[in-house]
This record gives sequence, C-alpha cells and structure tokens, in this order.
Amino acid sequence: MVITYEVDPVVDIIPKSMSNETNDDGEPSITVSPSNNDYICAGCTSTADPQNSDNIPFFYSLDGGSTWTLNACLPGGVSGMNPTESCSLDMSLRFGLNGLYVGYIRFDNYEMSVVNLADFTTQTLSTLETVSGGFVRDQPWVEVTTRKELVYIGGGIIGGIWLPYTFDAVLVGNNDLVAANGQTAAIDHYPTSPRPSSGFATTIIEARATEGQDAPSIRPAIASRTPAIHSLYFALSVYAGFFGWRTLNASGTYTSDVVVVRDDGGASTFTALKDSHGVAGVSVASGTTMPPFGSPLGSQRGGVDLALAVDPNVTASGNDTVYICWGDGASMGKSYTLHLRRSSQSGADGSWGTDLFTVTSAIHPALAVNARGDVGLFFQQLYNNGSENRWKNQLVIFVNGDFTSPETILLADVEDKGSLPDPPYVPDWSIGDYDNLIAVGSDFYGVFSGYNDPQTGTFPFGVQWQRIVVGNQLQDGQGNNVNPSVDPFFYHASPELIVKIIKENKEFDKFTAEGKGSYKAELPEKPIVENKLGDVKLDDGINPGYPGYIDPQILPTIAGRIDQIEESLATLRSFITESERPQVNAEALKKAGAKKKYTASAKKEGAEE
Amino acid sequence: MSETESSGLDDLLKKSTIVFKGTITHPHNKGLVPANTSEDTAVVHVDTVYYLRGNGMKLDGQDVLLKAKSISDDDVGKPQVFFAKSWLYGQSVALIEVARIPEDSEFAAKDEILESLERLGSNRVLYRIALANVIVTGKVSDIVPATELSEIPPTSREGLQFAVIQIDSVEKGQYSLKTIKVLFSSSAEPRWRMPRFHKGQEGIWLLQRNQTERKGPLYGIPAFTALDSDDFHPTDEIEAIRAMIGRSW
Repeated sequence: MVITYEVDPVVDIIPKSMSNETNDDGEPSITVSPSNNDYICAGCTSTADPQNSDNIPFFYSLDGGSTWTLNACLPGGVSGMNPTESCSLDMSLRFGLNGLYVGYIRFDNYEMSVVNLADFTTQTLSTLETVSGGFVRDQPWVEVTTRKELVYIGGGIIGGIWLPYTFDAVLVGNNDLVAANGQTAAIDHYPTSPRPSSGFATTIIEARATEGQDAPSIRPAIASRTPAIHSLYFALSVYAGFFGWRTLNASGTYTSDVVVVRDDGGASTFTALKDSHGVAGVSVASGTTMPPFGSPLGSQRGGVDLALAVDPNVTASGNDTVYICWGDGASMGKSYTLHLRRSSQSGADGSWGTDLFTVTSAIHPALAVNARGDVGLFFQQLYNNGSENRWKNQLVIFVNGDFTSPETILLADVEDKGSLPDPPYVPDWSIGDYDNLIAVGSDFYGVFSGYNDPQTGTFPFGVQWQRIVVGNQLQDGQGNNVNPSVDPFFYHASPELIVKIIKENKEFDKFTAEGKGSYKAELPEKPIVENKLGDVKLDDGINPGYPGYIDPQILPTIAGRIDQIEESLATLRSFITESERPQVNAEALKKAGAKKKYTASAKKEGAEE
Repeated sequence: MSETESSGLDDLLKKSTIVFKGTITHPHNKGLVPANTSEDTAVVHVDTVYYLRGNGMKLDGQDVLLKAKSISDDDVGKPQVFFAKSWLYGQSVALIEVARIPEDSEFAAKDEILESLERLGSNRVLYRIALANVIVTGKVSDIVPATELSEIPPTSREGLQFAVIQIDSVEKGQYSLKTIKVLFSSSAEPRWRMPRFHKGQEGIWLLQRNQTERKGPLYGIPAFTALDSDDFHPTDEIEAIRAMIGRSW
C-alpha cells in the first residue's frame, strides 16, 4: 500500500471583478470551516478595498477554494487614501464553532484588533479585542479551538449547578513591542474563563533577557492531549514557539534561541516546560545566528521564519508530538537554512533531537500535521536560473514518518518580483513575512503569495485564474493590459490510497504475452478508519510511479482477477464511511468544470489522469 | 443648490464609494455574488457611473448586486441614482445602498456630484495644511540614516531615514534655519507607507512637528514628518497651496 498526495491546480485568489488590481498581496493566512470544508477564508497584508472605503477586506470561498470573493468589511482602513496605501496589514484568520475570527493590525491607527463574524459573507461583526496605543503589537497569529467544559452556574444561598458549555478559545500570538524589559513574545487569549464576558488577557511567554525585543514571529499551536492536571475551567494545553533575540552582534546579526513554551491551563502562564535551570521555556536550538533584521534573500526580507504544529494524534504514552521549523544563518544567502525538528514528549527539555530535514536558501515555512500524522511543510526557495532570481513554492509531505524521502510537490515557480521596482525597494517585501498551511482531517490546505505574471510563472499542477487572463497577459476587462504584481495562491492536497497489484505467482512475467498470471491487491495491515481518504487507486506494478494506470491492452487479460481486486477494495472502502470521505473536492471540481486533477506522482512522470 | 443641500450631498458622498445611474432589473435576487446574506438584494444594471472611488475599476454597463434598504416591485425598470458603498467582489460586485434618488428629480446628479467632489478634495488639502506646523518649498540635498534612533525596537525602525531639505521658502509657520530634516521610512512594508523622498527631489512639504496622528514607537519619534500622501506636492502647485494657506484655519 502506498499513500501519495493528490494536488489540485493552484488557484489565484484575486476575483474576476478585481482584475485591474496591482497590489502586492503578501503574507497570506488561510482557514477552513470545520463544519463545512467548502467554506474557506483567506487574508493578506496589502489587500485593499478597490473602492477605497474605510474597510479592510479578506477573501472567502464557498466552494472549496475554486472561486473566491473579497469582503470589504473589517474596520480600520482610511477612506480617501490611495488603495495602494490604505490596505490590510498583518492578518490571521481561523474558524471556530461560532464563525470566523480575524486578528489584524488596523491601518488607520495601527491598533491590533480581534473580531468575530458569525457570517463571513456579511459586514456584521463583533470586536473581541482592541489593543490601543497604536503600533504596539505586531504580527498577530490566531489559533482557535472549540472546547466543551463544565461551568458552574449560580451559587450563593440556593447553590449552583455544573452545566456543559461549549465555546471557542481564541489564542493570538503577537509581539508586544512595549512589553517590559524587552520581553515581547506574547499570547493574548480569550476568554479567560468559559464565559464570553471574561474578555482577553495577555500572557508574556518570554522568561529570559532579550536584546530589546523578541522576533516578530510568535506562533501558538493547540495541543492534542488533555493535560492531566489543568485549571478549573480549561482542559486546554497550548504551545507557542518564538525566537528569543539574545544578543546583537557587531555585524548586525542576532544570537537567538528557538524557544518552545507550553501552558496546560488555558494559556494563562506558559510555564509547563522548563529548562534544566528551571526557567520557563525550552530551547530547541540555542545560540543560533540570525541574519540582520530586514536583510534580504533575493528581494525579500527573511530572518524571522518560524512555524509550529502539533500532531492531532496523541502518542501511545499520552504525549503530543510537536514539530517546529525555523530558519537561521549568518546572512540571507545560500547558507540560510530551514530546520525541521520534532519532540515526541510534549515539547519537554531534551526531547527535540536533531534536524529531521533541512533546506537552504528558503524562507516562509508553513507547517501542519494531518490526521494521518503526515507532516506538511511549505516553503519558498530562491534560485537563479542564470538570468533572474525565482522562487520555488514547494510543499513537502513527510508520509508515514519518513523524513528521508518525502514527497516534494512544486506548486509554482515564479519570478522574484513585486509591483515596486527593485531597486530601490530591496527588500521590496512584496510576498511578506510568512505563508500558511493547515490540515483538516487528512487534507492539507495552504496559501502562498507569488508573482502573478502568467508569461513567466510555471505551475506544474496547473493554475486556475479568476482574474482576467487573455493569452498569457493579465487584463482588466476592458482589454487593457494590467501590470503583474503579487497575488495569493490557494492550494489543496489530499491523500490517496494506492493499492498495489502485485504478482501472485511466477507466471507473471509471461502475463503480457500469454495472458497468464494472477494478482492480488496489497492491502494495509490494518484499516485506517480515522483517515479521510479520497479515491482509492490501483498501481499495477508495471508502471510504478503512475498510480491508477493500467494499460488498456492488458486490462482484459486480468479480468479474471479484477473481481478479487474489487472485493479487496470493497473491503477497504468499507472502513471509510461515506461521511468520512471529503466532499470538498468532488463538489468543487464539478463547479470548476474543466479543472483537472493530477497526482503528484503522476505529474513526475509527466502524465495526466 | 442650497448650502444645506450641498452639505447633504457632501455627507452622502463621504459615506459612498460609488454613485451611479442604474436600473433594478431583478428584485429579490441573490445569485450574482455568492453570499449567505438573508437581507434583500437585487440585481441592478449600472447605466452610468458618476463617481467611483478607488483604483479605477469599470462598472459602466455591468450588473451589480445591491443590498437595498428596501425594494418594491414598483422600483423595477425605473432609472434611479444610487449612492452605495462597497461590499463584495467576486465574479461581479456587490454594493450596499446608502441612498437613492429618482433619476427624474431636479437633482442634476453629475454636475452636483462633481461640485461636491471638488469641495471635498480641496477640503482634504486644507485639512492637511491646517495640521501642518511648517510648510516649506525646497529641494532634498541629502538622505541620511536615522542612526540616533537605536533605542527604538529594530522591527520598528526599519528603513528610517532623514531627508535633508534645502529650503527655498517658508510658506507657513516659524522656521529660520536653511535646512530642515524630515523623518521618513523607505521600507516597502505597508505599515510604513508614506511619501518617500530622494536626493534632488523638489517640492512642497506640509510638515508636522512631533505629529500625533499616527501612534506607536515609530510615530512617537520627535521629528518633522510628512506622513500623508497629501503632505507633499510638486512645486508647480505652489500657487494653489498658497491660496489654500490663506483660507486655512
């Protein structure tokens, strides 16, 4: 049995009615509704309302990511300014039980806001948090988990009662630039008890001295295990990862620690993990060298690259498996390296081991672990083709715990450019500081930002434009050419189970010539009930690497064994109930019409299904 | 148009991102842009756009979805002037109605709107002039790094520089030196978006001393700044600027 991943064509998120748009829509975030996987929202920095209202927009899809709509609904823009100026700033989105949660920096006053939209297609929202004082918080990163807790209602003379209560716990990693002592890594969390009126609270998660501040990338992640000992209200465990900037060197480089903290009480202290000195937070890597802040790789800023994810499957010993990916190096050149490491002991000190995977000249790691325990890692890798710098936008999936030969999926190969001229704008910051990858069941959903020139971009799995493209030219709907810029691109990868047909007897070799031989399907040792597997495909063993292909010439000759194979497949399928099958793809593809699907392996052979 | 009516039109325009003459073609219709709205929407054919704020998208001759304040079947087929604000952008555009005026009223939509826009546009520059402590004309003689700002967190001082302006004339305020240093950021990051300056650049600077409009570590730095796109003008606008300085409060 082989698991491979099927990838849909990437989708340029910019809608058709915005075809004249030339903003650089960078550092995108994505979220998928847990109640309906067809509902997807995405947001970027620098996306503006084309009509220049005083609202900041985000994107949504109602069809699994095939088509997208911009909703200009978040307060905080500046009407009257040029749309290239009044735009969204850092934005992070997550769905919960009660709708969409968006954390973002307003453009009008640079305050960090967290809002909730019960219906993300409307302009109706409630503001959960506003951090006043201007640009005092940076790079909000939202995670949401729905909790069911017992809440004590009532009390006093007549006594109270414990009742079940379901609510969304919202975590916002952010860099609190005015926090005391330069310990700026922070998690804002809501609610502080399972009562909506209890509001937000901020917990500083840095316990050590810093060189003025921590790096901007503060990344929370929800644990999978339920802590054995937890607070009265929250049976919730939360991790966070960040760079602690320790010293600033004469060369402008920083000596940094890659720190992971954990809280088992609903994000209130983050002191569950301690180092050998008893200080909160463990160092996955100590004393790493970080390039000077703002120094470019190609024309893009790097040096604050960090992603954190938790395997949704708890280990047999009751622990979380936690993954972290970060970038380091003395400069933003070929030596700048992304590292992937893992702890199988809930992040404990000394449990992080060595690198599972590294890649150089790459930035913007996005990390997720799906229900199968497969690890998805997206990154953007710079290379020069002899005449220009380009970005390889790659999704690497580590299947079945294999970190030596991962499935590498090149989603897009695009120029290292934005709408601003290079120089003088280097770094031009057109693709932002991060990308986003999430797992829903066994599927990966991601979004990245890249140069949208159809003439020079290469999309191995295809690309679906919504904005108007005539030939290979962006146009505005009136026949006018539109200059390329940076757009957000959506992608979706889902696992396929490939059942190998293997030879059963020695007559196999004579098979094609004489029509002899018998075959059987190689089935998994145990059913994978939890996995939301899509199509089951056949690999005939004759064309390895081309799943699903059986030469029509030989198909009739194995008809005698097809029934046996079908029976085996039916047995396998019986473990995958209809409700567990992902409906997103099928529906989306129907709506997309001509949209084609490829498997990663098939594409490697240059073949189309 | 009376002063009261002008003021009313100004207010409507401030609330609107688009004004157009159009016709409701399909009342109580939701199909044009995918949304879950339960409110009443209609398809409106845009005949003529009088005013559209923003990046220059074209909506003339297209159908848009309008979330209307109210829709009656009597509205169908009658040309009306719609004041609306932006909402959704998909295959088509969805708008939210601000106001509606019958097309056959005495309101001469296009001309009145143009007059109102001219008032609003002038007022915006007037407002910037009023905020400015010092207005100078001159030329950028040098760009120097803002090294003295090392106490600011590094992520908050990205691209900070001073433009040194050789002053030709002081148009507003008291300033006696020959040069003035204007703090700006050359970073392309959106939060630092502001007019950027280069050596040799000539123009008119509307400068605030220790501004308080924008907040946070960067914007709390004591310095002269020109943070708004209307805080810098090319030299050939000097007569218009001088006229407005005379009218400024």
